[in-house]
Amino acid sequence: MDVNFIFQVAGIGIIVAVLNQLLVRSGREDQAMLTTLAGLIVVLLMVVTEIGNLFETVKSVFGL
Amino acid sequence: MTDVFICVSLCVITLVLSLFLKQYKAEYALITSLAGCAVIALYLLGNFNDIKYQLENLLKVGQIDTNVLKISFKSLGICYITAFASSFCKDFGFTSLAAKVELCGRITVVMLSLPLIQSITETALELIG
Repeated sequence: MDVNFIFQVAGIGIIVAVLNQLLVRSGREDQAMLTTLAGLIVVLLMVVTEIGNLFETVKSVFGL
Repeated sequence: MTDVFICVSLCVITLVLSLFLKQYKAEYALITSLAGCAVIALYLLGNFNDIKYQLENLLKVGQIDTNVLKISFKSLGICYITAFASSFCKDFGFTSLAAKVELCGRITVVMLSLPLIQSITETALELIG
């Protein structure tokens, strides 16, 4: 519920982008794709948990 | 007052990070923006309970049925969630998805307000006799 969450997500994105560039330049494109995919899954899991939290809060506040 | 500053700064931070990631990995920009929106929304919703409490008190003083307020709040919540999803889709160019989400919200709100319409019709028929 704070800035750290946004920084974590963006940080994982930056790390994956850097790793992707490194792996592509050294010719290992399949590993680059796997790294991107793994990072995407991790980040999606984090954000989906937070979105679920948001929906529960909206349900409780608005009485849905 | 500090709420405004916190929200503005969260928004600017999310914008900068998302814009930076857009050049390298567009999907991470999407997820960062989604995370930022979720954090800001969660932060703001905490304040909403005060507003709800005050409105309920006002209605009690005015001796109006609180069911009306409940339906209003539910439709407000649905509008908020669908606007959240629809604006997020539009941000990244998926206007057709946004239109479908908005359609879903509209249908749900109409379904919610059907009892109200029924009671208005019954009252009008009674008045006409």
